[in-house]
Amino acid sequence: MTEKDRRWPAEGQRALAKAEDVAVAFNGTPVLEGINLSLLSGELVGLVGPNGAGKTTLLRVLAALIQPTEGRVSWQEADRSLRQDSGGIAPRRTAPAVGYLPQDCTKFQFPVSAWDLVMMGRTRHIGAGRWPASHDAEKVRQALKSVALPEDTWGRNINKLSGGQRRMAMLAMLLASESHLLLLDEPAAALDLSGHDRLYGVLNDLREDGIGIVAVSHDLAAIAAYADRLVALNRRVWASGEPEEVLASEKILKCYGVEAHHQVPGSPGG
Amino acid sequence: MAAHLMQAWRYAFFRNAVFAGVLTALLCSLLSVFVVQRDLAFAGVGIAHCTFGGLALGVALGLDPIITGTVFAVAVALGLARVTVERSRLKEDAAIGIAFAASMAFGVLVISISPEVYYGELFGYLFGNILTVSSQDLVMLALLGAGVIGFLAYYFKHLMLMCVNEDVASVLGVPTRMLHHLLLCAIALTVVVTIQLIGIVLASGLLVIPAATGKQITDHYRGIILVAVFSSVLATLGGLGLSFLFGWPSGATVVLIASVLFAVVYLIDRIKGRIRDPGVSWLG
Repeated sequence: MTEKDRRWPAEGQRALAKAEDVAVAFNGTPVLEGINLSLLSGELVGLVGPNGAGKTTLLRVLAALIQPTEGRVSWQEADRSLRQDSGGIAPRRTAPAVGYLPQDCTKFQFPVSAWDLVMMGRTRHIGAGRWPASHDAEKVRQALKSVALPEDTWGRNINKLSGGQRRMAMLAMLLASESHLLLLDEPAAALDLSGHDRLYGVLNDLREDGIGIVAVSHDLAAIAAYADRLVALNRRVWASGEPEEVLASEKILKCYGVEAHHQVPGSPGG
Repeated sequence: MAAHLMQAWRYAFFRNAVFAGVLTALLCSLLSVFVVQRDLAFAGVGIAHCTFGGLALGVALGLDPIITGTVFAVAVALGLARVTVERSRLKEDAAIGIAFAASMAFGVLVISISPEVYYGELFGYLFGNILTVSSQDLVMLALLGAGVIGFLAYYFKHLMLMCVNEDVASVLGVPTRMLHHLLLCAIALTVVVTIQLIGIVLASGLLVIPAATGKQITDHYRGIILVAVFSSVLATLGGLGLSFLFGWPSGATVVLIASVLFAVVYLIDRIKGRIRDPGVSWLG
């Protein structure tokens, strides 16, 4: 466990999820080993590492989609506001209030409009067998406005939108879910420069609202510019801390398996 | 022709057939939306054919073949659901292929070693006969229909989210495993009822064709549901009418009309697509 991960949450911050000695193996092949990570409210964590480093696997473990082979993950329980939103009835499964944006989320087989898609983000609040209330529609409207998706696209089939707009619609879906912790797998992929700025603008607003965010990125320069903390992963955590500190460290080179005379893009001088 | 059909309406067996047909069409078309969107078309075919083993066993042992067929269908559905959610090395389509062949082979073996088996009864299950539906069958169908439609209505949003992305659905608190198992069980129960009406060979047709037709016409799920329901009810009523008037086999006529409706909308969509986007071929 690194010093950064041992730290006690700063004033006003709370731990949203905690991975302790997590290991994952697929058919006996280790993918993650000895992962210790605390995710705090109001913090944007950039998860970086080479291809096949286990970044998606770690996100899926944190999203409770994969059971770790060893160790444990704990989440802050869905809080009272969630129960109040669901009409005083707690959801049957007390799911951690986590939102997950998968890497391959821009191809939709199911023909829904952007509005319907974002409304699906309210599933946890609405529950089964009930129709959305007016406040659910208001949350959907706010979420779509937050990601600056033009109003004339809201009713359109999601597959008729551009790749970037689809990704923003998925992000709006997570905003509408009012999750406390967002796990985003390459959220900036397929976004142009303005989409990229808008995405990080939205993430910044969320962070200021106390939402914890983990974003996987291959663009070290971009993620370092916005993240509070970088975690360099390649089967295990090689470095974790302030972005400048991590990028300046020799450990990042080792994490990427490159020679010391190379510069990792995004690192000072890289 | 209309007078002929009005005359037929006076017979209880024809009225039962119409009610049973419309209920089955409604049930199958609503399920077909999820069957097509979740790539379960082959699962529907597999479950229908697996039921043959259970039906043959029931006939050979002198038990109610519908009960043994139902047990087989539900067991196969649960087995398939398990293979899917466990993401084992065995792929779902391979598992369906194995279960399909094994169950049919089991059925044939059971028939061949049981001298008392009346083949006509089993042949009836292969192709069905909607005109033999009794009032008792109709009550059972209505109860099952209410259960399956109730399940679809209650979990509609959850099932839709699963069609969009199962991982996102799971993280947002949707009990994806349970719903996948229940959806396959609903398909199995619907298949058993449909078998009595249009037979094992054709049952999967009504679980696939209506939603596939809807997908050709509209690109919104509400439109797909409406077209699926409308086209399958139309095919069922049209098939029953033609079957009565010309003495054609009812199940085959219903499925053929549904297929023709699909072919027509498919061709119209292709022609419209060519007009919108002629491509280089039209320019030489």
